[in-house]
Amino acid sequence: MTRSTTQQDAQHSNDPLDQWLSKAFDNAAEELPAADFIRRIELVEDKANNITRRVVLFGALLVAAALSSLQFESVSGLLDFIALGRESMHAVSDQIASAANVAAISSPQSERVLPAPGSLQGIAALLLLALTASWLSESAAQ
Amino acid sequence: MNRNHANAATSAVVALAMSGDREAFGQLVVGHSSSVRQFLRRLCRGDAAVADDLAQSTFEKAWRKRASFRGDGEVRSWLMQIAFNEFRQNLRKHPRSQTSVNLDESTEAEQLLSADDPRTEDLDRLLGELSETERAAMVLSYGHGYSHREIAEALAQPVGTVKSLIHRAKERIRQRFQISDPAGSNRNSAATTAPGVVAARSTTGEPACE
Repeated sequence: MTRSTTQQDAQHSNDPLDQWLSKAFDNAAEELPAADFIRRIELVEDKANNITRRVVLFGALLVAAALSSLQFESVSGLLDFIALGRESMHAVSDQIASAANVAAISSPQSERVLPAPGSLQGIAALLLLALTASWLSESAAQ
Repeated sequence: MNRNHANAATSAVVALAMSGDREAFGQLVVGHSSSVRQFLRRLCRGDAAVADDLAQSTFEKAWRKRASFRGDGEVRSWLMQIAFNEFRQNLRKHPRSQTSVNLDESTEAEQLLSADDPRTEDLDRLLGELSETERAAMVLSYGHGYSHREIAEALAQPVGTVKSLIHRAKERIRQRFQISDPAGSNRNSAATTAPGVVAARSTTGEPACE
């Protein structure tokens, strides 16, 4: 560490307290390696990214739920659809995977994540899929 | 000339880091993590685990609030300011008081300041006698060699306040351990002219880190 005027003054001072402090801080000084410390920061950052991803997906779920409830015209219809969707999740896994990517579009790191059957991501994906299908069929009917 | 080049390179790294360049910010972390951790260790009176947690929070916050760096001051003072705020917030969350120095035994008191080779533990105990702001000012001044202006930036205090903080901190230590003052000001009548301690009183100090 570069010595400042304050530190040099303290070393050459005839004040016993200054001298003691100067020596004590010298003895206490140690170079702390940055490597481990930086790894800790990166781990925390990864965790924060995971949380962000979950928040984005949960937001997508809420939006999809709100819009789907309009499509299904009642909350009970929506809940029935969710229950049915969870049971048939394995059967539609390919569609879920592609829809999950749509749901997570604002979080690029989520693209690698496939939704587990019955998970929050899976339900959000299913709802978005249902919403899209509903809109498409409505457009076709018109 | 070389120094100017080094300063320009440092400024460029700081500018890049503050504009959101992760690699440049990583360089800042590498360059400053040791001093920030040491600063917090002295504030936390040697509690390395808590100090490192606070240092981690410091750099996370620095990254998130990089837009608040005005660029007219030193980046190291800005980082220390964030570190000091993290330390104070931690104190508010965990206000558990600790008995800072137990000096019931005069031999222990004598060892504290008369030793030729002061121990870090003794330094931490002595700093524990000070308020958190006084402690920070003393650590930055004696331990990190900051000028009064840089300490003022780091502690968000006027320069005059910093000078009186350091003066008051030293006086508090002198009175607490009855150490002579060569300048003769505020001299305690019981003090000796030799370095060391002639008496000690037990006290309860400021809260440290949880």
